[in-house]
Amino acid sequence: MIKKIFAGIIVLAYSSALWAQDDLLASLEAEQADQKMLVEATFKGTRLINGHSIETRKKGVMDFMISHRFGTIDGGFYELFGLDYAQIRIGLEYAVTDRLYVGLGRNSFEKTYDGFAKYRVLRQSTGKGSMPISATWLSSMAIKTLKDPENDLAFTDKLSFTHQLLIARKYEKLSFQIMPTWVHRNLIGEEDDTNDILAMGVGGRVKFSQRVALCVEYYYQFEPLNNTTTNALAIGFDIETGGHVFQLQFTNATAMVPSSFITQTTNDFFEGEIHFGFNISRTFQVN
Amino acid sequence: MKSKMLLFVIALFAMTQAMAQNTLIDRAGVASFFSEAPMEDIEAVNKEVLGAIDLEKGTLAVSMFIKGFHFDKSLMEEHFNENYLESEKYPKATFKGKITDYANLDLTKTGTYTAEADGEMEIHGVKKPLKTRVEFKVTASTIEAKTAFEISVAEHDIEIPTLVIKNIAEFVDVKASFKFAR
Repeated sequence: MIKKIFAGIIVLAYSSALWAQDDLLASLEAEQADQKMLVEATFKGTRLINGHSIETRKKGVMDFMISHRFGTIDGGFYELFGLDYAQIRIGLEYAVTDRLYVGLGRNSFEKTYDGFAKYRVLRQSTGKGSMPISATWLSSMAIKTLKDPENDLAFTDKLSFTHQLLIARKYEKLSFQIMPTWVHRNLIGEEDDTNDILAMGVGGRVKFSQRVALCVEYYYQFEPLNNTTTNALAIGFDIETGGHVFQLQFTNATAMVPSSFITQTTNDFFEGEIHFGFNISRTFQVN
Repeated sequence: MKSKMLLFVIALFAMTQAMAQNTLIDRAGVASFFSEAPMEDIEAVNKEVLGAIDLEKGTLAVSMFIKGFHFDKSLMEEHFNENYLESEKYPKATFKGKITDYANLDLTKTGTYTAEADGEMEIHGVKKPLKTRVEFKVTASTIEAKTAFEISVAEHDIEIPTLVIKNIAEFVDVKASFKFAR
């Protein structure tokens, strides 16, 4: 009995092989089955909203980025819903390789200069030997240059550092990301509680169409800098048009550098202290 | 019983072998496309195209990954995959067809021949009939096949938003070439 079944299976296997041979296309496609493919475009931009996404640009691409966060919309018509006032960050970023991405920027919030390096450690893929997630390491350094006449600060006193492990997964139109974060300040004020802040960010996006996506991002601080700070929440839209990505957002954060917006946000989203803002990214293929 | 079975299996195996011998496969075929639009020209090449020809029946097959197309501008490549061809949903472009009037074509003799391929092209999950002239160049050791045709972006349900309509042409010129070892 067992032998018969075995024989039957062999015959079936061979006859199906015959079939495949008969259909040229099917036999070609059988060769391509299980080929490993990287999952691209988990997010549209290198920023989820305020913070970084796992994405980097491809080798040789330069990205010029302009970001604004306006005043709070509860200022009403008198302040044109916050548009009278704006924090700005201008940044220039470059992809050294497909995995390594570096950037410099200047944020008007506390006149902060920042530099960062991002490295794609893992890339989500499909097919044989596939990787279920993408992971990117981010290290950012910021220098606060706002004049402080009352205190004589050394250069190192003005530095702060952020390290993040960004982990994401894309499911067709849905992408999720978690961001374990460590922010370190060399010097803190008298009212502040801690030099080191651990935070966990969560976020995601859903694509509505090929060019428009809704994004959400939230950073929870396990121990805040002091009792006046709040957790940064942001909701935004990504709109893509050829070489540009426009990100429009509503957030309680005004800063655009990780160490600042994660730990120094003071507005309360649910009290209406919401800022409208945007990031515009323009890419150039440099080499 | 057992030996009969074995004989049958061997016979089957022999048959598949015989069929396989009539089939030539090129695993490094080249497909490229070019579109000229008011704003920018778009050009991409895929050098990992699988092509097959069954010399006995005159049937043809082509299969390629959309992600195998490479552009000069990497962002263009991302948009091509993500926004237009939706390559994670429709990973491949394929062609399946036959050479019309194959009885009058002898690809075993060296020389240059022109024939017509008639079949079905699948791009972006949409199947469309395709008739195209194929140039065959047969040498002692190889059979080369070359073709060029035009495809309509709209016919394959590839949407182009009005915002970028000036950047992308409605028709795309496609070229493909294969070199089969005999």
